[in-house]
Amino acid sequence: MSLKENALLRGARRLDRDALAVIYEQYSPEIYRYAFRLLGDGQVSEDCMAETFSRFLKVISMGEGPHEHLRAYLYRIAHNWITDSYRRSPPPDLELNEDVLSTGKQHLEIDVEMNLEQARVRSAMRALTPDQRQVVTLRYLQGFSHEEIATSMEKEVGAIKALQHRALDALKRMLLSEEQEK
Amino acid sequence: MKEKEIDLRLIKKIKALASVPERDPRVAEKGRARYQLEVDKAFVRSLEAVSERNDRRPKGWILNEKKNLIQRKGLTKMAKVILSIFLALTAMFTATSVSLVAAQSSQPDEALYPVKTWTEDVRMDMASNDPQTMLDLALEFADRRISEIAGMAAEGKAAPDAVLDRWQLDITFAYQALVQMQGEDFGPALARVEATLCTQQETMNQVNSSTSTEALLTRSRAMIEEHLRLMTGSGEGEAQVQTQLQQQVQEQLQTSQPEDAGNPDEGALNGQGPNTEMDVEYGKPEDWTQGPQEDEDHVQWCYTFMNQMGYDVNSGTASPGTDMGQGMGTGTGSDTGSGLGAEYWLMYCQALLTPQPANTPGAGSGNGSGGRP
Repeated sequence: MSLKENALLRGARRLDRDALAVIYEQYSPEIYRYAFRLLGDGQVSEDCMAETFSRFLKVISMGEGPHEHLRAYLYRIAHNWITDSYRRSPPPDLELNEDVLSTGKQHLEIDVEMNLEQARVRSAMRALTPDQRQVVTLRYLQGFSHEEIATSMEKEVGAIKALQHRALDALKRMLLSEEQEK
Repeated sequence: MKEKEIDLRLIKKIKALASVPERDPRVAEKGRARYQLEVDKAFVRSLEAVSERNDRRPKGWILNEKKNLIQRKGLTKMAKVILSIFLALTAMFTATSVSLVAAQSSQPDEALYPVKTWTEDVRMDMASNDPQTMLDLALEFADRRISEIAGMAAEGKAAPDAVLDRWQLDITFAYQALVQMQGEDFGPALARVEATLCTQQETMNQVNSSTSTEALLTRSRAMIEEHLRLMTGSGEGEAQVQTQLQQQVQEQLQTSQPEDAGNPDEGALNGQGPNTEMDVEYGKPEDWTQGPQEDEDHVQWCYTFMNQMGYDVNSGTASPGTDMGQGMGTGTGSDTGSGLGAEYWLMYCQALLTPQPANTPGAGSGNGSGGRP
């Protein structure tokens, strides 16, 4: 990981307020996007992001937590929160998101179709195991390399590739069954 | 369909999730303020942990030093006298400091609580020219009040009403600070107040009520809810919110005027009759909120003031038939919209004139004319 990231983490462990502010500014937007992609709800994603940083703060103020790989650590907290959230709440119905209807955009039909497609994919992702879901999200939506995912999940690169393979197989069955039959 | 083509189609479908709508800037700002608040709290906790250890070190060093110096034969009489005075002053200063530090963690039903509220008054008074510091203090003190109410409720005890009144006062100070803020400072500060209120709401919602605490907790939650509605309900721009807050503060100050609180004729209901001296000296609205003059007898002032406000000093209750008297008599002056200044001085005078246990927060809030407001 970068020297800057480790320097920030060292500052955070000393409860340096500037370092903690920079960490929030730097990582909160991507943690929010990560949460939204899996949860599909702005408010819940805000909660996930807030709780991620709150847990991080709590851990480092007790003198615990990581000494390196800050970004990976934050993703791991967010991932655990989302997994718990899935357990707590039932899967949502595949219905239109009110956000799309209220935006007043010109290409409403395209937006509605996109929204339905997102709901289908999200539902399929939800059916994966937590590890498979994390691998697919980090790889294809957050742009992580296999090595970065391995660090984030504290696994070997080979194990990550195997998880990715199984996850794509499962998603194919759920999302492309019609195409495969043709 | 070939395997590679399927993979590409699948990845394209997955990437449908890449599009994320833009965050609401206000919600984002609120989240940032909330995080900042948590950082500040963590930072303060870390300082407190360090200062406790430091407290022990110098004390040990001073005692050892004293022993060595007194046992040394070469000291003259004068040196011993000077040394004794120095040590006595040091001991007094240390004892005062220890009391002040110890008071900071006291609860409303403890003897040192008035010291805690007095130090808060002094700090707030000193910060009155700096909106940012005033806001910091107001939110910190408001947090303390909620912690006290929640802490006592967790033990099955209801905090005195005056604790909630002080919370209301602290929030009003926060509004005053917001009103004084200009330009870029206002938005983040507003979000901070809102985040603080949200945290306080969560704290109060997590407290389990009992028969003795239910009324206070319900009232506390309603008051927090009311302030949150003011913050979030408007849905307007910052300028409008700032104007609304200004109106809110002004309304509170205006309702504390003697005309609203009870005119001299109402004093007659209490058998006192109109006080002509007061009419001359405190005829102007702003005089009420300024309290007694520096060289004035506080006790005499309080007698005159409370009579004018329709408060029966002898029975220790509010006189019927006066608006202000009803508000204060039930201890719900803050949430019934009674005035900030008059309410404060009523609490002060009540503490000064009415014999009451030393551990009530009202007694502590009025230690001297240099306190709030």
